[in-house]
Amino acid sequence: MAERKPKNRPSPTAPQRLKLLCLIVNRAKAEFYVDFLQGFEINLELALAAKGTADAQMLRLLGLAETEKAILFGVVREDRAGDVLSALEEKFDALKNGKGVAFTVPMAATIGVAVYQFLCNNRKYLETKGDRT
Amino acid sequence: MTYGHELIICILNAGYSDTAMDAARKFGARGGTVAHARGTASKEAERLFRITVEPEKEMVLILVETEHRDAILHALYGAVGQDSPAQGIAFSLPVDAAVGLGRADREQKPAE
Repeated sequence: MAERKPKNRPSPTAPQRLKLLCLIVNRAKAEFYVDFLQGFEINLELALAAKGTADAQMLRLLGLAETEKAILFGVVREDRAGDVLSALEEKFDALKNGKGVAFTVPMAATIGVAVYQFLCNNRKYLETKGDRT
Repeated sequence: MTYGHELIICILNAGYSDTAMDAARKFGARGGTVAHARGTASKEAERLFRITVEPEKEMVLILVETEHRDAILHALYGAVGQDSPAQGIAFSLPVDAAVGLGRADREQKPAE
């Protein structure tokens, strides 16, 4: 007797949903996290220089001039989002001066097949196109 | 569908991010991040509506609990809205998962 397929399992050809991953970390660690995210099939990343908003009194108390931060944006496939957040959570705890905040925002739409496949890191798409340049 | 957290983005004239954060803190925001940005607007629309869009902008990102969102948006509207010199706009995006906030925030089931 054939086994029944579990319910709610996406078909292999169903398009993957995408999420916008936002990561806020100390600027000194931005480059590390950019490399780290690339290991999770995140092909598009944007990095912005930013600053924290701790008030002046608190900064004086801590002996800091300004809290230099970086905001990293990346587009991640829904099925990898959980892995990325778990891995980031571990890094936040393990890495010296590597504390940060990460969250995902669901994306509603995008346009362009090639762009979508790029964001999904769908290598099979390249094979079907016969274009590996 | 709503989640446990929301990301409030406030875009305002440069130099007013402290005012925005002061207003947001009063209603439950714990912190924010400020990035510099450059505003753009149609020159024709600026002339037509007789408004000037200052190109020097700041973008304030504030991650908040959903229950605080409306109060913070109202506070931002009052403190740094279009009637103020900051000429800010604010909106929020749903956040479906977050880590690094110091609590068990990962399991965020959508609430009705």
